[in-house]
Amino acid sequence: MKSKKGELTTNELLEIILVVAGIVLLAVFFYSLVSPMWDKGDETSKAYLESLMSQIETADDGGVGEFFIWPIESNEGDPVGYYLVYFGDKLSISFAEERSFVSGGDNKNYVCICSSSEEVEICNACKDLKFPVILSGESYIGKGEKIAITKMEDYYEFKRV
Amino acid sequence: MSEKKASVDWTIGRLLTFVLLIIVLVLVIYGISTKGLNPLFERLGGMFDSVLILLHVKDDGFENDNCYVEKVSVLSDGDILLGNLYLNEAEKEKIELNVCRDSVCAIKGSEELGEYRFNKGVFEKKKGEEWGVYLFSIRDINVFKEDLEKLSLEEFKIKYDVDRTRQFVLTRSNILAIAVWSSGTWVVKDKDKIVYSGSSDDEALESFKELVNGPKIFGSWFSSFVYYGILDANDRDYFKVASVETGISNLVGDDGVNGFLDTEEDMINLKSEFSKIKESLLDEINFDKEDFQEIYNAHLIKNFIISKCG
Repeated sequence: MKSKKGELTTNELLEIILVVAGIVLLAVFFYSLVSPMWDKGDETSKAYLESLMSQIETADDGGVGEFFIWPIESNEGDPVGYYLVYFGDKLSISFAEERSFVSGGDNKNYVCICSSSEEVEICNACKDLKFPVILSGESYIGKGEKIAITKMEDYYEFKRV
Repeated sequence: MSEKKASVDWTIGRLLTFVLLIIVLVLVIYGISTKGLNPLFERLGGMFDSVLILLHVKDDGFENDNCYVEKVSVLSDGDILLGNLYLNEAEKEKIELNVCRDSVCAIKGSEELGEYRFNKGVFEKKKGEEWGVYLFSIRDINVFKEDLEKLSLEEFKIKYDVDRTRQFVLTRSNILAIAVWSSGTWVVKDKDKIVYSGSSDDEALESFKELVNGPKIFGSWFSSFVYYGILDANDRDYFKVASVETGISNLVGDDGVNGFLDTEEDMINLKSEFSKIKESLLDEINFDKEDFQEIYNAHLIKNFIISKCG
């Protein structure tokens, strides 16, 4: 019902809010439907990252977290391998001659799960940690490697086991 | 006239809508306050960014899918680098860091600053279209900057031995007495003994004169023939100065054309001629203050790239 002055009534305002919310939801669903969202490399990286974060939570609670990159054989077209890469505040970490992991952002205590194919390394699943990481040797952990995660006073120790 | 009151025409439907809206609002406020909605927001943010990148509204920072490019001014510690560079403010804003998947990290964007990169662990500078190895290194960057602002250009060059001049050499015929000037510093030797080392032209030339004249025998100097020459910076073949017979009289316009450096007039002429030679030798070094500022800039850039690219 319209007011006599042509202003919006409470009722109309509520309807507009609900309609806008519905349109936004529909747009999100539509985008999910049509966009090439699902990528095996991305999803695996995200799963590894979630696993890492839960192990870091274990370390935060005083326990010892464990993280492991499975030595899975890749199918054709899949990434060759996955790596846990600690960038810290760097933007790239040298991986092999003329090949680097590039974080694609300026961050602090930055950790990523990167996938490596025959041509290129991609780091799509990343997170800023609360504390820096001390990791002896190379700044990345690869296929078949296992680490123990311990929370020290003001840093995390990632120790190869 | 009866008084009209504004009223909401409540029905069950409207009431339910209103209650649902309040519940949603309460849940949202609770979610925000407990940070429970953060993962959802992050995910939505990521999805939104992906849509913008897909529509080319937003840049994902990667150039040709190979290099991540970012303005140095927005990078952590970028402001420190820019604050220290010898470069005007407008140029500083143009500087970018290129981090590439092929392990090359480069600083680009400002024509005035030039382009630098780390390529397979080697620091390089672009000259024209070619990349060349940049070898100059600074032991203590803070002292270098202090000296750059405090010392004269000549003093600075001498201290850092960045670009040595050719040598001006005075020698006795048997080269047992020799005076060598290079990059502002004299070394005068009697056989292997250094009799003078320093930057005073007067002291050096006078001490050399003493070596080639004397002792006095029957009221006359027992003098030696003196030769002079100009050798390349690293040339140590001082014999050739004496062997090519460039007698000192050619330089000082000797009164008796005797090839000795034995009179006050000889010394006055020598000092005067040497000051012209010195000026021309120093002019041969092309480095000026701006070149040293460039060296300083390059050093800062090198350290910055190392800090960003592993």
